[in-house]
Amino acid sequence: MPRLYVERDDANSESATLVAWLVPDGQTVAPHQPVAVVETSKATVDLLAPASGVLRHGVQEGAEIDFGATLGWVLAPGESLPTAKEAGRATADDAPAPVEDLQPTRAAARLLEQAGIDPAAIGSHGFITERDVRAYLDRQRARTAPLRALEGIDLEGLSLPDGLTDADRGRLDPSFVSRLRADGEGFRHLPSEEKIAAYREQGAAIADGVQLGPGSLLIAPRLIIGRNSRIGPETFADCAEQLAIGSLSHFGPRLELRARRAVFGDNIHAGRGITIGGGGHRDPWAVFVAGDLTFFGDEVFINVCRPVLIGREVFLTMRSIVVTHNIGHSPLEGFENRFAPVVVEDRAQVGMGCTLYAGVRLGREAIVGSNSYVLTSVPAGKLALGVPARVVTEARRTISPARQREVARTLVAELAEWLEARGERVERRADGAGFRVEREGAAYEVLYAETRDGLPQADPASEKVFVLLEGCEDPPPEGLLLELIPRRARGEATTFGHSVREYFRKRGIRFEPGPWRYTGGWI
Amino acid sequence: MSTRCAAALNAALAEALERWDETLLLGEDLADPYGGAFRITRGLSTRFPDRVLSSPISEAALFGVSAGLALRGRRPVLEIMFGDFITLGLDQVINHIAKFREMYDEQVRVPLVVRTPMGGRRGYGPTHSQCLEKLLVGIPGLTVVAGSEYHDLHRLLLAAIASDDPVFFIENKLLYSRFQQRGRDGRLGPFLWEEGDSTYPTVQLRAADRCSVSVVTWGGMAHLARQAAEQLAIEHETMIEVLILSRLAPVDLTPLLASVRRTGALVVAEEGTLTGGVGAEIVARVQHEAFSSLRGPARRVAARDAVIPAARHLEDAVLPQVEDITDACLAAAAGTEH
Amino acid sequence: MDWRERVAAEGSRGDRTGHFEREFYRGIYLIRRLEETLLELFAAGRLSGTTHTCLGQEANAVAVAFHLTDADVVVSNHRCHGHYLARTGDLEGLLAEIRGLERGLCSGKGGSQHLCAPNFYTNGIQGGIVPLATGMALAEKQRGSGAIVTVFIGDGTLGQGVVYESFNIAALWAAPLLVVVEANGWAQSTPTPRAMAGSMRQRLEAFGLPCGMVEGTDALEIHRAAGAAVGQVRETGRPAGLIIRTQRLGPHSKGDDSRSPEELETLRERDPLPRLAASLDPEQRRAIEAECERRLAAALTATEGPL
Repeated sequence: MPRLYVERDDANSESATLVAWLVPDGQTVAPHQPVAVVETSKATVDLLAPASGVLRHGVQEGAEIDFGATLGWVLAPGESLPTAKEAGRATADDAPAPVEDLQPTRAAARLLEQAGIDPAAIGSHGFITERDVRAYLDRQRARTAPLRALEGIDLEGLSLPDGLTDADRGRLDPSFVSRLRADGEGFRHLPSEEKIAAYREQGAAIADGVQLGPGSLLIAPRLIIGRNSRIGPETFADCAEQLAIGSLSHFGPRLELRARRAVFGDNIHAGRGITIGGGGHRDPWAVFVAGDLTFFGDEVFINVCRPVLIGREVFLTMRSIVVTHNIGHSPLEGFENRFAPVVVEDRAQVGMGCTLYAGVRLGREAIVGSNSYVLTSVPAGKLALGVPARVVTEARRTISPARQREVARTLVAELAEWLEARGERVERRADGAGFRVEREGAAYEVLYAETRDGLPQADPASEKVFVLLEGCEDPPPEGLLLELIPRRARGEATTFGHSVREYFRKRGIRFEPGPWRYTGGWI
Repeated sequence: MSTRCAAALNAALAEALERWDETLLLGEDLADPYGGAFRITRGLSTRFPDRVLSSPISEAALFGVSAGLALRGRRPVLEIMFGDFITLGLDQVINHIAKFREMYDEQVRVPLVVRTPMGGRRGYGPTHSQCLEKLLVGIPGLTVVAGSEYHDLHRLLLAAIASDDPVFFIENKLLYSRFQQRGRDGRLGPFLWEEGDSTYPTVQLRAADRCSVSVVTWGGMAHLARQAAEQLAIEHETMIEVLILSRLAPVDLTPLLASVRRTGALVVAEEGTLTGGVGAEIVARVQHEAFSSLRGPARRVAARDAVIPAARHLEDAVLPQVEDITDACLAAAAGTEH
Repeated sequence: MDWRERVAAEGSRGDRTGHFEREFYRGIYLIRRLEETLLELFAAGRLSGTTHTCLGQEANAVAVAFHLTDADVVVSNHRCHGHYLARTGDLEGLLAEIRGLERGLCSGKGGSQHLCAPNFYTNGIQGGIVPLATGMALAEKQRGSGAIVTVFIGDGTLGQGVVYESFNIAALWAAPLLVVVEANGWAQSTPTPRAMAGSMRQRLEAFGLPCGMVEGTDALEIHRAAGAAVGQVRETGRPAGLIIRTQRLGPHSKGDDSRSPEELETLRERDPLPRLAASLDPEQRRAIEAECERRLAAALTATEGPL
């Protein structure tokens, strides 16, 4: 199709300007009819239609046009506009050729293609090098690496923390880690905030509100600590690969931790003098994982040369011992020589002074009685006892709705007693649906009902905590709502509300959402 | 809408004429409808008929007349049609314009800008293609500016006109039809982009956080250096920092020195001929200031010491090309002897 | 007080008999004595560098300066001491500059050939000052100051091409520029006939610069011609020329005079100074000379400096 263009008219210029279109877009033109005014270096000239047909504009008035480049077209009957690509060539002159912000190098492009990875997964700007792609692939592998160490272990029944697959954050400068390892003595005596500032500067991902107790030293190439977690004094942790601790976790004094990777979830509570590690902590399988809300009693000892996987809301109480291998004479002489992981599924409970032997698995909500020696796995929901431990019964009794109602009422009544014993002025409701406390001129109420409909009228002036046995659809507009069976907390909690929540937590009722930590109040 | 360099320069001249009554444009063929051989003054004689003067072909006198105007309170901007023609006025430049302020013990200032296009790659032949900035940088009292599309040319030229001292403002011919390339949010395409905040800033384009060679360049070579940086990154995974100077004299090498301390290798790329080039001066200074940072000898890319032929294939053989920069960078990155 | 002011002052006292000649003489004599003194100092090794004296050409400077206003601009060349003294009377500043002192006109950076004072500039390059002066004249015109610019060149300078480019531009753009050619017949050591073809005057006239001409060395005649030339530029606002056939009695620089004693003797006969002296009352003349000697001695003492 005939196109409009400007001929070069002198040696020093590279372009001309389209001053105006004389014929609107889409109108029919005759041969040699002036259709546009173009300003070249020498003069202003009319551009004539090369043929008859419909004029189509290719560029806007005011645009600079390179000589020979297309300004527009004259379409014969039946012809249509050129493709966008061709048209783009004509108008590209209005703006510089677009530059890709992200450019893989040739080697990187090859690798990306092989691996089937979109460059945008690696970055948004700059040149992507082969090294960048390899590092990305390494990170991807690293992300699944702990799980590889866990190969062959059934992860059913375990809620493991996110930190386990977080392979990107908290990477420290390797020279800093080596310095800590070579001579961390001076560093461990720095004040908490200075240590944290140094870790962060070197790349660690440490959230706000974290405290590192006096004399504590953490060594790990990747270090992640969630907000408001506290590490007690004289703690020593040395992980060859990673140490990750979730939010609101608490560790008492003198934790000793050695593993390739140690990953703790949120709301962990760990007592004093706990030892995690022991022989073989550098083994490739030396992975220790503890899920959210798990409890470690004082002086717990866990040997990690094979994975130790502890699920969510697990209780590992005082002086419990977990071993992943034994020590002894040659297996060729017929002696036992065992290396095997230990798995404790969600909500399982281990009594005081128990030993879990290498290869043992405690099922979900299983319970092991105190001082038991667990040589074989305990199925989910069973209670095992003895040396060696044997399943004796179900871990929990069936509880009737009537009994649930009774327990709930008792819990509320005991809370009232508890407060009274603390010297509070407690006024019990006549209908038994809770009580009221007055302190320093302010009123507080705990209002109990089995269902939402049963909640009594509250004092508009009081600070309220509603306790329901069942869940409900429409929480009260104000105050804190605690639903006991679904274990759910809703609404805004004040100090009083937190105190009531803590009372229930101590009685085993942990409300969602978490993590949550009691910071003091009435109780 | 993106701005072409020619339009940016034209706008700067228009703004100067608008803002400062004492601004005057002088030169050959400036008036409309011609508007200068490269159309940089297009439209200005129509808007400012008394202050845009098309002159006779008398470069020597034009330099002197401009100097006289400047000494007596005017702010002339002289266009020399081709940089090759500055030789006709060098007596005025060396013995008058650059001397007055100091020779007369600060009793006078010479607020004069000489704009002139330099550079080849258009087949204009031996006397219309040269980069002669090396003749100017060694003249004390002269400011020599060579902008590129990576600098804000409007601001740069306006600053030169606002200066109370003589400024040579060198414009590479190929610049005119190019678009201004300005970074945003520290980025320009795939490059990390940084521009100093001085009046005549050095622009840095870095292919990565850590690069193995610093390439310093200016004017028309900036375009080639950027292409070289892209090729080196994509083909060789050799990452370089390109530093684009805007003021060649007096030259501020602070950003370059910082760069060399990061990369440990230096390549200077200029379009002018090799011997006695500006690059020689830069290399001398960098080795003095940062010798211990250099892994190997600094390398120079420049035109061959020859006449620039008219035929394009012959011209290409004389002028420095992108491959010359990439070769120098690869050698410098390896730290080997040449 | 420069000599123009003295003429005006004496005039106002009503005693006009010979006062103009006396002041003219005073101006020339002071320049003559300074230049002689400089050559002596050089000879005695008490000045370093170089100098170009205007011995024999003093009247040109004094005559032109008489007709200029304070706003007018003077641009001069390597042989500039006379122009400066005639314009400013600042003997001490000039001497201090030549002697390289901090309180010299340019703190000693310029020296003999590179002087600068308000509306006064000199440079040591042949010809380059002509476009400069042209630009200055254009600037004055644009500013509407009414000032004119006078540039002093020699006949030797007419060998420079830029001079003609400047004549062309000055005429084309109507610069209020007076070009004074002090034609002393020599380009350093080359006699003008060997350095210049054709007509000096036509060289200016070809560009449309009306050109006055003073053939003799009579000081008063020079004075009249200068007045006419300055007046023309001021009135027309366009460039004009004035060629003064003068003679250089001293060397081009110092001790580099290759002319014969006979030739120099002929030139000395045309020296306007003795003739002007002869026209004055001897007592008054001696008084003027004595005063000039005192001023020179005082300036010398004041600029003794670190020589």
